[in-house]
Amino acid sequence: MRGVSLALEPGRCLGIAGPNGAGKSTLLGALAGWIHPSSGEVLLHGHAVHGRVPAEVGFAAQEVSFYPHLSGRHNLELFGQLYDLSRTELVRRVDHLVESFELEDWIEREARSYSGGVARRLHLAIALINQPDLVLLDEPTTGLDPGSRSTLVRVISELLEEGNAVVMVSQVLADLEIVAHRLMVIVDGHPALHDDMESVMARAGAGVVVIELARHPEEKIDLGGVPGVLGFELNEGVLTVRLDGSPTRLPLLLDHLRRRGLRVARLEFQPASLQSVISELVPGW
Amino acid sequence: MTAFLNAARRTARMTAHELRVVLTNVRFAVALFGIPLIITGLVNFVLHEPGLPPDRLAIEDADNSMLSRKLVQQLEQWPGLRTETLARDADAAALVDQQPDVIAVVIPAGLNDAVLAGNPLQLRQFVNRAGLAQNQPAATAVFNAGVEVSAVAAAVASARLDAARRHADEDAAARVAETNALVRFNILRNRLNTTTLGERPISSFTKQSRFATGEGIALMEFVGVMLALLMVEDREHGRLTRLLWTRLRLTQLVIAKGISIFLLCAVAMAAIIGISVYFGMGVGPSLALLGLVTVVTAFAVTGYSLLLLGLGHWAPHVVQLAGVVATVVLSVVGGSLVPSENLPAAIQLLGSLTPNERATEAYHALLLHGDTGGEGLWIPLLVLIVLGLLQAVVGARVLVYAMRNAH
Repeated sequence: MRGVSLALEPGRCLGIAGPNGAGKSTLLGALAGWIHPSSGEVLLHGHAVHGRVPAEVGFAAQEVSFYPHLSGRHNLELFGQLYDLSRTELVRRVDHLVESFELEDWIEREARSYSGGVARRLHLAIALINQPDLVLLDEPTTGLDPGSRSTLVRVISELLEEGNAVVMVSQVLADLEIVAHRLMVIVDGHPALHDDMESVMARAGAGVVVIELARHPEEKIDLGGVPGVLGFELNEGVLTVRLDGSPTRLPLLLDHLRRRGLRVARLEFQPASLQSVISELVPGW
Repeated sequence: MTAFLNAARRTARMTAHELRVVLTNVRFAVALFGIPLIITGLVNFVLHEPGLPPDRLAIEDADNSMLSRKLVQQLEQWPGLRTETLARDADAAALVDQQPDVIAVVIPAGLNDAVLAGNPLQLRQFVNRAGLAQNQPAATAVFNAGVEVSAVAAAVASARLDAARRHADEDAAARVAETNALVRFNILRNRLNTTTLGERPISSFTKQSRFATGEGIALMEFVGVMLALLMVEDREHGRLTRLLWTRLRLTQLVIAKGISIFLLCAVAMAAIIGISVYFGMGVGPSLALLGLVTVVTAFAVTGYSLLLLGLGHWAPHVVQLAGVVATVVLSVVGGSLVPSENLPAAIQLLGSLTPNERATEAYHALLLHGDTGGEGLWIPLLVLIVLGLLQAVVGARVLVYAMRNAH
């Protein structure tokens, strides 16, 4: 990892994306204090983080880890006790997390009997047992069923509302779109993109219009002068046009085509996504 | 002070957790305790010979001389041996046929005269093979008596030869030599010519005690090894790393693991001894000392287990196999499975550095020789403590190094 510089305020979420092996988990480990950077430093509440994970940090690594032969409750209680939580506080936290992660039906069972989704929910609940100020999540939604994913996204949203800061590494860009305020895309150990999510989405424009023309155009199409067109491509009678976010752009485009005598046989509008932005940034990912 | 209390509380919680993980999991509990305890139970059941009172020696003094009376007196004083006197014309062979648990020794008539001639007669020993297993101390006492009588005869022969050279009265010299030799006559002093039970004569022996203090130590060692390997598995699943993301410090984790290994090993050894006692093994002269030897042995095994635990984090797959192999080797060279005296000198030297040999020595000093102190007991215990400490420190250092350099 080189050239990473970032700041995160309470109530904000940084999403980190990038291809496999780009260095996302390494960055997360360094932020947690678990991995020692060869240069630079990580500050939490103004204090340097090094050597060990501070008690104010909740860290859920990519691989789920808990004691499979103990119940979910025992696992939560063990890790809570190791954070020196009082008995009263521990009971309160466990009850809260069980409710948040919808673990009521599972919490008394041995964790080895959990499905992948429930196991990951417990894994994440353990990371939050100490009520951390900063939550670091490495691929938290990987392998989750839609129900578990929506539960997790809701929990992260609640954490942010409560004023916690969240750093979330994920390959599931749709999740980052929902929860992240800022996005960092790491490629080959470098941040290839680091910006507010709004700015990133603005780059994507409103979306992509796929237009199947009634007949192949006889002359070369040039949409350069059409307002709001960010780019286009014509391939065997199918015109793919990327538009910016203004709602007037599509009518203007269609009017332009009509005036050129190009009749539209079929039209499909694909709303802009983070994937489209990142695909441009990292071809093939 | 608060920080210290919190650290102690975390260590205690982690220890309780380690114990809970093992003891509430049937698979782990069976793997750790089932095999050692089942083996111990079965072996003791097989070795157990109910109804045979151990350690009985019948003595027939057909000579009735100063030498024979001394011999009888010392045989009667042999620790842990129950003796009975036979009439001069008793049929010793018939006695042992009828009572297989008894060994009979006949001091032949003319023994003293033969010794004074410098050519001793052999003590006649009657043993029923059906009862032999219960009579190791009696057989040892008779063997030692024979050795000591031979020593007197050798002294007499030497005196006769010397007198002949000086042209002095050989018979007088022989009588003086015998008298002097009898002053030093002590059948307990002689070394036992067996490699199974150490060099000193034993006061109490059962096959149960032989098993518990030999193979039993090896079995306890396997409990420690299994625990260490179980804990290495923690790393494979990332749990150890996750534990360290809490307020738990690495040193607290190592101490907690050490305490839990120690407790479980001590319980395993206590169970092995308990089963053996149930089947007839004596507890020695002091239950407190038996507890002390067990605690110190468990400490040494804990050190060894922590060493494996540390190495296991450094190179898990190699150590998982090598740890088991090393434990078998330790058991062999340390005399847990084969008497160490049977092994080549170089291997014996190696074995003397193992916890197995020292633990066996300590248990034998207490249970077989009836020692309540002395170097036979304290030196092995001291060595076990030093070995345990050294191995624990090295293991903990390797573990800390491996964990801190995991990334």
